[in-house]
Amino acid sequence: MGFFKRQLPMIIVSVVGFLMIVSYFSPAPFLQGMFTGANEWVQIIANFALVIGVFSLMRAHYIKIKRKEAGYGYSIVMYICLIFMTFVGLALERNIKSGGVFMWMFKWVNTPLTMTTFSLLAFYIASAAYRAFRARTFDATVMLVGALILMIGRVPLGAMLSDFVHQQITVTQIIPGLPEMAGWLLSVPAMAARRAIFLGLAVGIVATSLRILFGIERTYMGGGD
Amino acid sequence: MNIWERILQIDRRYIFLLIGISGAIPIIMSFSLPTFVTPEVRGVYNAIDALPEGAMVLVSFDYEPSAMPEMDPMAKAILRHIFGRGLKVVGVTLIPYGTGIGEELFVAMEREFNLKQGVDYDFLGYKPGYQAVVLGLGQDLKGSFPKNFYEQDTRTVPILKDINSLRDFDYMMWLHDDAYGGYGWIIYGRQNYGIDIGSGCTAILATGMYPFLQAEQVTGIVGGLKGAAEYEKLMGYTGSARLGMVAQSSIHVMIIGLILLGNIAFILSKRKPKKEPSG
Amino acid sequence: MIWHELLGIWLAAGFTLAIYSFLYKDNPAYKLAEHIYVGVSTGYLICIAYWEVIDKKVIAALGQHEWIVIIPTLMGLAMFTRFSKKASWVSRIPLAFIIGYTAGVAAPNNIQGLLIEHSYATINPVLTAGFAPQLNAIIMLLGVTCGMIYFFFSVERKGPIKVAARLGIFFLMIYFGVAYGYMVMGRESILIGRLNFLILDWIKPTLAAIGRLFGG
Repeated sequence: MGFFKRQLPMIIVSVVGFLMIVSYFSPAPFLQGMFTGANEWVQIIANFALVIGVFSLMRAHYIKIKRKEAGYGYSIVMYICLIFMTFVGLALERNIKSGGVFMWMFKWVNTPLTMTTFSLLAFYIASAAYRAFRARTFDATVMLVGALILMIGRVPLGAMLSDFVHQQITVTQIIPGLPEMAGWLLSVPAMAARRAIFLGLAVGIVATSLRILFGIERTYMGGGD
Repeated sequence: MNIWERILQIDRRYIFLLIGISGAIPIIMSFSLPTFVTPEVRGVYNAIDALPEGAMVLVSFDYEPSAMPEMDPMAKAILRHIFGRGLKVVGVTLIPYGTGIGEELFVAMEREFNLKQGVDYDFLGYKPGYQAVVLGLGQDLKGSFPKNFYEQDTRTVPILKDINSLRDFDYMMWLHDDAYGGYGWIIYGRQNYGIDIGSGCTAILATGMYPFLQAEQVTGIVGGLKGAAEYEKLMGYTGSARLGMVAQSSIHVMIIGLILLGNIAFILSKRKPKKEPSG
Repeated sequence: MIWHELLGIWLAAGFTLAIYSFLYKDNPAYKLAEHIYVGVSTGYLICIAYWEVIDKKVIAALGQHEWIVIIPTLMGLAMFTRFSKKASWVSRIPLAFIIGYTAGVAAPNNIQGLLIEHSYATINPVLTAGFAPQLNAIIMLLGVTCGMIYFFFSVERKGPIKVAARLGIFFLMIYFGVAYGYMVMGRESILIGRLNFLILDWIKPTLAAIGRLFGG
């Protein structure tokens, strides 16, 4: 039994992984066929991973209702909406198309609720910026100046402001306008820093992948035996 | 507690109110400001403009409904450009909610340009697994998507007759609000199947796309509502993105003002206690 | 305007205000809207997962006697064993397949697409460009190199390494600054979208309708 619990998953990881690596370099029809098949299989398995996420959420709310925890009425509402949406999408309307109840629900219930929930962050960001965005140190000042140049340089107001100053005080024309400054920050220094992060990330991905394939990294198997 | 300390400890709900008002006023007044076009946006526009009539464009709707206020005006401007030039579009999505978003956009475009599904455009729909979908489309498009979003056999859809892989597309427009599969379309799609990609993304993601632009892995970046406004300008109309730029400017001024006020109050509130013992 | 669109606008406006009521303080209207959101979006996921994959890929393949599709389906179903204490090890098998696949495709593609291409794109401009871009190319090379040195935690920070790491932080701070600025822009855009809806799609037409009603 121990073989199935520990060794078999490791063998599967290594065999599948190395086959994928070899198929990257080799155009052999046999390997390419296997590679194409693996893509199909992953899509189907990944779909069940999504369903498991949904299942976990439903379980959490079910437990809340069963134990009659505070606010369990909301969980009942959640279930009613879930069942209604699923009924419409699976039983009432075969195939999802514009003009049906399912898409109506998506357009007028799901979408506005998602957008509004995320737009709350605009308020909290403003409040956090007011309270915490301080030029305490040199580094923080650099960050603050970078943020301010981008924020004003990327909206029409920044361009209008720069043009106005350039027209009024001719000497300032040797200094680039705010939009140009923001563009330069984005495409040179910030891009360089982002690339440094990307390169570090790529080294990390490659190293972790190889550790997994060679069976050194096993945390994905979780705890237990 | 001096006045500056009191300013620092203001109830955050007043700040919320200020932000709400500064966004609402320009919308009520509804006027527009001149938009300037950046080279990043022109990169996408020029690439689409250079395609010959009848060229095949793949559009991936990889954004959640939460990003729709930013992404929908952009998607509309770009799709108008594509359909206006008589190019053909195949849509796809790597995320479940992309189906509703893609379907709504195609329906809108169908009305506007009098298009025919299956001839001028087709929507493949959604499959999970990010890079597995990108690689699946590259290896065997009709195997990965045996049926399109409208339940038709992809082998019988006219527009897909000669399309069997990502290689068969002339251009790809990646509309996204996240990196999905570690920049899957670029790292897996472009690299293995040589498809040219234009990136249309949310503002949050835009900063992270510049290394790909410099490495010429994308032809351009349309970033956020600002990018959408630029694209609307290139297309010669004023849509919700250009109108939104006024509200954006107004909220920016408010936030910058708040940051500056916060900093001034911070410095001044600290200065006072130092003086007190001597005085 | 068609009646179901009008109903949709009023419903969406109600939900928008219910969510925004949270800005004042947490309240039942917000909680109700939040749970409706979770329920509807989860229902949406279930339907898409069924139609787009199970129906179009699994059932359709079985209809054409492509029996091989049973294997990934069983592997997918095996993932449900993670809810059982005794049989949870079975879920390691499909997980192993996914992880092996991901690691196998990620390693070569990231080496080529990120490591090689981006290193080339960093060094090449310094060697080829004219004067003005040359300066930018040097700044970029400096930024990438110093940024990466900053992330080397296994090297002791003294002498030139310390200077380089310090410079790396400088570049990273510029990045975080502009990234923050762009993030603010993004969040604002979503807010603007909602305000646009409330004002232009809901309040203005409603006021106009009331005006017509009383103005004859």
